[in-house]
Amino acid sequence: MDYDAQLKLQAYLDGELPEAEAKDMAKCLARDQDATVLLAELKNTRQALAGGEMPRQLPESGEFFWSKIEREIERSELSQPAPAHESLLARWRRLLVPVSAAAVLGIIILVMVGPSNSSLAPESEVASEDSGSFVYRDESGTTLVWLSYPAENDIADETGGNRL
Amino acid sequence: MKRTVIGLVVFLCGLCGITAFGQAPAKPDKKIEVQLLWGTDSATSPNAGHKPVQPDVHKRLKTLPLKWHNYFMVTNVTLSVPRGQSAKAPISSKCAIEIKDLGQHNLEVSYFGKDKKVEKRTQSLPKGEMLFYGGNAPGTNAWLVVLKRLE
Amino acid sequence: MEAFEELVARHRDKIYARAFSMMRNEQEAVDLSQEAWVKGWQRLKQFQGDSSFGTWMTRIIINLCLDQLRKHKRQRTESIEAMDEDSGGVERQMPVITVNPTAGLERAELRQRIDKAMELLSHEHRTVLILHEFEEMEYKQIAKTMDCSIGTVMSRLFYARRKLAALLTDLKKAE
Repeated sequence: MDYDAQLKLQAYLDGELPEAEAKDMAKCLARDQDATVLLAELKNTRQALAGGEMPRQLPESGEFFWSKIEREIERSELSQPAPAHESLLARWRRLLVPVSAAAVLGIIILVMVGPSNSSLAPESEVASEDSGSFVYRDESGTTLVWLSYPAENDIADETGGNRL
Repeated sequence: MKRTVIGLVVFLCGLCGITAFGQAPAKPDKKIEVQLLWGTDSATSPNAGHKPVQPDVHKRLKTLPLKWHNYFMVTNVTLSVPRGQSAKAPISSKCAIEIKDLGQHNLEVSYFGKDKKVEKRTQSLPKGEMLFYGGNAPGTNAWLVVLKRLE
Repeated sequence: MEAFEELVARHRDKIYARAFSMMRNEQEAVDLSQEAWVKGWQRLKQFQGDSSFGTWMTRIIINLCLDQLRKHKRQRTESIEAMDEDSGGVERQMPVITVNPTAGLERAELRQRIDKAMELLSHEHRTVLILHEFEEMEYKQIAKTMDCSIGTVMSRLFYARRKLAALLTDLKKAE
């Protein structure tokens, strides 16, 4: 069986041959022992693969993964230019969201910043120099700031284990 | 006259005493421990100088959504930050950290890489809480800097 | 955004698994998965519901992985064996495997063996197997996705299957 015939045999197995060629291949199989053996091998492999893939789980917590996605979406939306033509209503709507968000934030701050109990003082956060960073905080009082510096930054170099 | 002078002296001594005792004692410096860590899935660190992380830090790392299984301490420095002032210390040959006291539990933390400020953040850090900074490192590892308030 | 977060929660493992199966590198797979979700959000308006959301997202991750693999390919030199594989030279010499190397295996063990064997294939051969056997794409669709001819798809698929059979047999012998 030459190489092209072998590829046709595979196509026959996969149902990719036109009807007329498929009929010819079936006749060929009836008289060619080598073709039958090769077809059996291809079938076994296909059957093995039909058993499915190894299941895999994302090696990060869902919250962490989502927070990175959310951050990236927000960043990409901020960098988009404003649409050229906007109706007055659309313009007001665009203003309404940040204004109402600021109002809600203001109310929350006013409520929270009462007689200051130092352990409950809200953390104030300066915008990070790294616009790709994001923050995770849990109830145990642990804060994690994950920076988007490329792996080859100075701090990473030092922790690589070779220089210290 | 004598009585007046004695009375005045007693009054002045009393006033000095009140001033001495009544004056609030000077607040001690804030002590912040800064550790540089390396996160990896390898069981051992390639650098024999690295130590295992402290148990309390290890416990906190386990609660964080980080995927690495093992962490090693690369360096460990304690900064004494005077009230209302700042203190700076190197954490590696190229990097340094500066911490400024902003009053109460608030700190301003700045990182320097090759003498350039690369990151600044204001954070409330009471005793018992920890602040971690981190990022990816070559070879699917991670670098982390943890700040702990000691006093 | 909350609804999208729910979709991410529902499909993230599947999308990550597909990325990992193609890239065989955990960090790259995580990064590409993240990128796929961001793209999914940006293109949500284009999703017309003619396929399931999971299938639509899978197409996005596959394309991202293929782009990344092309970048890798530009950086590495092509081995003579790899070029020979594509032209159909190597597998002509492979003896036909007459004994089924996976007969009698439990499902979990079978999946593990296949995963191990797939790891040993080149990116191109692994990709064509994934697209045909797991994503159930036709030759024409694979050719379009991988930006190659149908003939190349057929050669790669043939080589990948034959090589996989040989690897599974070796793994069976090693047990």
